[in-house]
Amino acid sequence: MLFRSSLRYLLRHPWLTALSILGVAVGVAVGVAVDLANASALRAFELSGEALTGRATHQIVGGPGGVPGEMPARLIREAGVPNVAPVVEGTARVARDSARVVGILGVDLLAEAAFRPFVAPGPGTDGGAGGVDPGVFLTVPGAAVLSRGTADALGVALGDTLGLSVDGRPVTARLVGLLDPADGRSASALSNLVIVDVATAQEWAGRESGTTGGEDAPSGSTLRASDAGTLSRVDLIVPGGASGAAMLARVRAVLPPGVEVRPATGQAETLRTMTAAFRLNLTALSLLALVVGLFLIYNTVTFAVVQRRRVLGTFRALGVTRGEVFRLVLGEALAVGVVGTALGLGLGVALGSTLVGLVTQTITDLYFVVRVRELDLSAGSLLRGVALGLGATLLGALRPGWEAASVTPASALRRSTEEDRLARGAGRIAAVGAGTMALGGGLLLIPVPAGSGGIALAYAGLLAILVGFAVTVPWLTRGYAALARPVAGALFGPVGRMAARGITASLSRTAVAVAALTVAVAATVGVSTMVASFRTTVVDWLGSVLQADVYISPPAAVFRRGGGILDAGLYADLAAMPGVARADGIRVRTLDTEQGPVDLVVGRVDTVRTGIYRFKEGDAKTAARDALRGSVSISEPFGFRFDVQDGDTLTLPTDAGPRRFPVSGVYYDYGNDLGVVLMDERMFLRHYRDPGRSGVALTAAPGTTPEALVQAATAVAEGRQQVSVRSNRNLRETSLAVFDRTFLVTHVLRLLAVGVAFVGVLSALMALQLERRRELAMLRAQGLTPAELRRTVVVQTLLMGLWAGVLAVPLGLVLAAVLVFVVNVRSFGWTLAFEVSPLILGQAVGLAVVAALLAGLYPAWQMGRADPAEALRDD
Amino acid sequence: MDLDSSGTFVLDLRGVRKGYREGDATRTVLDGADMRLARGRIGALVGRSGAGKSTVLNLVSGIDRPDAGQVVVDGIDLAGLSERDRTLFRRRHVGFVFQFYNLVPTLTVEENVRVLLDLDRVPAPEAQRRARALLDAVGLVDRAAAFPDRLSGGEQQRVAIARALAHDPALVLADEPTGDLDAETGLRVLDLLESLTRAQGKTLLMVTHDRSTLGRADVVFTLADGQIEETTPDSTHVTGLRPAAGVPAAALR
Repeated sequence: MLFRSSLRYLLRHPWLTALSILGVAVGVAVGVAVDLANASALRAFELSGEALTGRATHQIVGGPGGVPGEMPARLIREAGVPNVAPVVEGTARVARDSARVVGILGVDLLAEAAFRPFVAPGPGTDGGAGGVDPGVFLTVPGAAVLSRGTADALGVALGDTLGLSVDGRPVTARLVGLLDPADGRSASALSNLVIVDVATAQEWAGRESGTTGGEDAPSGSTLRASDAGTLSRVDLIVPGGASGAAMLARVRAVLPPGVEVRPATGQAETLRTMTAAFRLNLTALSLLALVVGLFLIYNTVTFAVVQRRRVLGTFRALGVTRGEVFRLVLGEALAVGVVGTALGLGLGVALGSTLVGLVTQTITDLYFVVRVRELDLSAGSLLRGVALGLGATLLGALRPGWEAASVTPASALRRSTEEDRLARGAGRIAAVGAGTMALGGGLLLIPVPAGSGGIALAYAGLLAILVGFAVTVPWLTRGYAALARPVAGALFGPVGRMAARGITASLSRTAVAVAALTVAVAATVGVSTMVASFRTTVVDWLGSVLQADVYISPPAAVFRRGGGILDAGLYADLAAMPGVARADGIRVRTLDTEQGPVDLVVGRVDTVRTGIYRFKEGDAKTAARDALRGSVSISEPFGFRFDVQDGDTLTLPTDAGPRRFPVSGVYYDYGNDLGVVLMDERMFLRHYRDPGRSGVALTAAPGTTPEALVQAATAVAEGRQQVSVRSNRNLRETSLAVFDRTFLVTHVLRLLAVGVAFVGVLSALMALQLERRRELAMLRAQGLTPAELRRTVVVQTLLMGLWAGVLAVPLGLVLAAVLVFVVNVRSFGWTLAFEVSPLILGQAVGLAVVAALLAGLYPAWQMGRADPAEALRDD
Repeated sequence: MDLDSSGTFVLDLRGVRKGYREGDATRTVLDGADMRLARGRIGALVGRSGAGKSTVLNLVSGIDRPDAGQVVVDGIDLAGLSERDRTLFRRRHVGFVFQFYNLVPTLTVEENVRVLLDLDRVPAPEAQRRARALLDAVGLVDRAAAFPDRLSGGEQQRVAIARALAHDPALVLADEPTGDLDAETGLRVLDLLESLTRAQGKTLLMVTHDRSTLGRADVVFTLADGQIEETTPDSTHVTGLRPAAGVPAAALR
């Protein structure tokens, strides 16, 4: 019966109930959406990997420009491995839609049955019988097989051709077969995947024999590609147990130096680790929305308790126990939580499908190509959403519930009891808040060894600071209201004084509203300042590293990693163009290591080249000198990721097996959060039989404009290879556009947090005005006009909004400092400049005031309209 | 001395002291007060504002505890009970009628009457029967499904009286039950309260400011200077009579 009373109470205040349901819903939605997007992006990658890996237990990787093409035959013949499949992997852009990236999987059809049954030979799929017709697949030039869904999406039918661009070179695929995946999972795995013969893939990727050697092929290399070209890897099926171990030993004996055998499962794990920091940051942001939502729930439940002190007191006087009252309040909150959570799950799935696009775009920009872009509705994500929503609701209801339970029947009828207690306890509570903040600071100061994370610890510290600060808000607000009273009185007359007085009189309500708004706006200040600091740093850095006038490279699938190869003849012609004062060839080569991919940046390292970098450890001159003696320099994130410093040595896989390189110099670099190793071109060619160049940077001779060079280079490349020719300014702008795109998801989440806070302030103010209905009606009865009443409410919300904005500034800056100096450093190892923008701070205060004013409009209108006689009647 | 035929007191306060902290000072409201009310009797509690009438009600109902002395109600010494036990004691042994009715606005009239029965897990048909019978007795059975805000003040107070009697308490406490009603309505409510409590053999302790209601009481307790003096309703002066102490608790059961 008590619960029935609660439900009716909720139904009688539909606006407040709806707002708190909305608060829970938005909090849960953001959490679920981010979780789903993160999980989907990873799942997508795993699915892609699954399609590509198939049933292989081990993979053979490494070698100069890949695994020698002769390896499969040798493995069968010399190591006695029965199941061996060569694989060439790559990515291509669709010619008609260059934003669309597809995966290329080159396979040996006859070896596939044991690995990837969906591409096994068969009568062909024209009649829907399944399998790929080997006669057609092996003889038609550019023969390709797609899943039916992918073919539909690309708008091609059997027999059609599909224009693709691999490293900027145009190639043509001809659709000779369609795969009908047995289930949705396989369909996802095969989405955006073009399956071709291994020889076709080698040709497209420039892996056929002869192309890896060039006119400046190194003479000291121990291995040469066989006539069969190179492979991305060779898949093996090795049985478990002793026979498997013996087989692996035989395999290892056959492998040339620089080529190794690895379990097939490690890949997904590596990529999971690579994106861990990025995903954690998103999760933390989504939690922020929930923290604000928590305030909202706390606020609503507190209001429900405060407004019904009398009823609760009556219950207590009649003999309802504390436990029963506590359960009543919690049950009520839970009812709101259940509805809000259910709604939030729905919203979260909808929002998640939008976010997954942003997240996969960012991952594709920064880390690796994600082909699959569907939302993966994992039960885990949804369950976490449920736990989040209900958990937060109960957490938010705990204190009000306790508060309600401790309503003594004796004091129940005195309305000022709680306000008295809060006003008296504000100082003590503030001291607890200060202690919590100090604890948070302490958590942040706990030293964490480089590269070992500690991000969760940083966020725990951050949360403690946020909560600690929020708890000091009542005390601060009391002081503020005392100061604001004469000022508001001078500005708005008695109405102003009343408004300021009202803040203190209902401190338990106003302080919660101010705290919620403060936290949300502070989050905005913190995240904006962090992004602005980051951006300033990147702009500075781009200004210093982009010294050349024109940059030319084949379009890359992953923006920050490059990796396509510029045609050697084209490179020579570009470098020899008139008006070119200096041409710097650059190569980006990704090395597969046990710890995940390592990007090598290769160029002619001299003082001009190193001079563009700012060194954190060591210096440009020494680094340039040491580079010729076999040293490498590393970027700051690389040093952080692998805990390597100036003077250490670094072991890298080379064509001749692992080799140790001394490290000379650690430089600032914001282009790649996984870090890069800078190696001199001459050293690189000594260790890797891989002379291609990924791009070239041209410096204009005096008298030649960059625009003229851009035009000339475009003309030279015309018809030979699709390349992007960018002027210095253009590249800078593109880089910043990618930067901004990677933070788009951050901005979306931040706005959602502000949205939740707005709902919070609205509900707090509505609660406040509803609660003060009697008091205000009394004033109306004594002659206050509706306009004066409205003004009182508006001035009060204005004062509260302003205060929240002012409080948000220091809290936001602390938040930003933690994000910049702790979270970023622990996530990526970056040193960032700290950029405080007065514009951001001004916007924050403005946002708080506008949010509060907007939130105050409805209650003001409602109060002004209220009939004093009606309001004075007891409810 | 006021003993009923069975010789038991439902209410027995002995040497009760109670004070409240006000800043650094303590204001003593009851200073060794004694008070007894026998079963089936109606007692009126009078005194100036701030004399401690609400304090006495809070002590008797177990809402508050004395600083010293004993509060024995229906044979149970409340001073020795935990907060939870005092709450459950109240639920089972005490009925309340407040000045401002204090009906739960989100429960219907009938639900308000049977809320304690439901909490004590009285079977629903039985709870409904008792609630209906009491509503019938207070003349509001036709309003059982209405919410309190549809009722006049007098009607709400009649619902409150039904609620106070629903769980068959030994003691009914009424705090200025007519304070918020007009004279005529107040009179009718008092009639009802008196007749129902007498008919059901309940003991009633009523706080009142209204001298005219004193005539309905069997005994009048006057609160002054931390002491409680017992007089008869028709006496116009303080008698100076003190209730005798020393009745063993066991004898009160």
